[in-house]
Amino acid sequence: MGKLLKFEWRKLWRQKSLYIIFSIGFISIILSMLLAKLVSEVAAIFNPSDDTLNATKAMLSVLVSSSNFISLLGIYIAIFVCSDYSQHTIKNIYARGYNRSAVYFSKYLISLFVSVVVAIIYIAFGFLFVLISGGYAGSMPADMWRDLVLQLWTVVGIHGLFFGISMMVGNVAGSLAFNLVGVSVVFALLNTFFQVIKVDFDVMRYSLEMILGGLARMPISYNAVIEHPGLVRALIVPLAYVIVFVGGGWLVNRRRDV
Amino acid sequence: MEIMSESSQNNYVVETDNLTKTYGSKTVLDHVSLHVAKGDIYGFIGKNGAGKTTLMKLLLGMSHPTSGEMKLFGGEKLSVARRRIGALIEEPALYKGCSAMENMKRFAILAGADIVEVQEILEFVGLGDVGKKKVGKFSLGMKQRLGIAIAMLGNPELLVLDEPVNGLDPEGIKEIRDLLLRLNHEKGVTVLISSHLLDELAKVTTRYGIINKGHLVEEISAADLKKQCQQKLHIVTDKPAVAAKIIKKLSPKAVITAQDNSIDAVGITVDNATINKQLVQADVNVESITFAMDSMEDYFIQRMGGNK
Repeated sequence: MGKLLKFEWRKLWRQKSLYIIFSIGFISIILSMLLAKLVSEVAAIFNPSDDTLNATKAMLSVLVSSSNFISLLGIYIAIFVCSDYSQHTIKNIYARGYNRSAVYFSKYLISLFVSVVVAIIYIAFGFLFVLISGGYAGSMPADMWRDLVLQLWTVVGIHGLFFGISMMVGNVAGSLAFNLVGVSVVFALLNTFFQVIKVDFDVMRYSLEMILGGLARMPISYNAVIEHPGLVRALIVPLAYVIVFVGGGWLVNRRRDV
Repeated sequence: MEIMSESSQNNYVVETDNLTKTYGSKTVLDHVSLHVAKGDIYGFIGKNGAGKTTLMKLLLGMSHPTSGEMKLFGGEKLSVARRRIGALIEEPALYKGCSAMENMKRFAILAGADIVEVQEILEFVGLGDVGKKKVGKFSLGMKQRLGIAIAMLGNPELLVLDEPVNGLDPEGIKEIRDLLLRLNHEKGVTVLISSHLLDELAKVTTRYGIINKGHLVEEISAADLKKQCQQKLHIVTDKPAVAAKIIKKLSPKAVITAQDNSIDAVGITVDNATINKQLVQADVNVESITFAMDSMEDYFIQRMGGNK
């Protein structure tokens, strides 16, 4: 396992796409934060009495919760995880006696590490950017740090979802399609299905993207339509995704011929 | 299923017992029992789709057998035994956006090889001076060499090479041949190699396995094959079918092909006087009996089901 981790680690840092994807992420985050700041300031002009309207909080809310970050994560994971299958280099790994589970979990650990570290860097970068662009205004909500940790936990869930899908699909193009579009389509179809059969079940409550959005935007009143998921749902749902998708990917992968 | 229960005392590096692989209803390997002894250069011969690559993939853990058993290095745990193998299966699997050196360094981690070994092997296969050129821009021959170089990482005791000289020019083919002979003679590396270039295989192989439609038709040493190829019997007769039966009875391992008024028999173990006597006694008119030199190619084609 140690050699596999070293192998994946070396591959990771020599993969140009990693730098391109996350550079785009940085630019995207800066733009999103500036936009959030602008919207917040304009809203404050029209609602001067609402002290929850706070440009700093608005800027920080877009860090990892934006769909841009989630999409970039989906792209990076698909490319990193599936490149060995698409280029058939996985044959060289299996031929050296490494079993499928060890290969699978080495890819999981390295890609998870990167996902979480990048999310932390984005958050740190966000705080720095807020500081540079005018400093902190007003007080931070008391549960902000808790919600940031929960956001990271949700990133672990999203990583598990994309990783599992990518390993099940086994090629870069297919995984990109599923990660970027497939998940949203499945949720939209399920939502429509429950509406058609008139069952009162809001499937979107279990979308990781919605949970992440809820965690990030909770303190800001103009986004009050996005419900905070609550501590239990924010803890349980990402864990369920990890178990289902990482476990499912492992089961599919261990019997797959290359 | 993976490890044979019986501990054999032989010296086989690779041993399979009734190894079978099916994809849906299609059987691509059918009860194959193959034996590669330590020090062999084992030539694995068969038409496209005969099952050569499938068998190699099963040995290397890239594919799972449907039934049967396989044993590597006398029964060592397969995942451990595979660390003593270097392999090149189908086209070389490479990181096309990286240099040859970077490809080697990555796989050296898995093989436990150091940078000195990496550089030595690259020199050995003639890729020591390609610099930072991306592998995606390599010729097919260069990719093939790099694939072999990756297989050589970690000083493997067994090399499994699937069509390793594909795309190489005559000089490149000779280099690979010399390389395999050196590895075999100097380092005692056992080689399991498939190729459709029979003449090339014949220059290095010590033992052959012939596979046809998933069945292992025959395993034969290079020395025995040479003898067999010198004993092609051609008989012109009015009753080829009867003659074929008599010869089969006299020499059960012979492979006989009957035409309208003649038969060809390979692998005859009795002399032609005995054959002539038996045919005459059975009232078969024999116009002529001749022994002809059969080419190795003819022998294999016959074993592989002719030109069908």
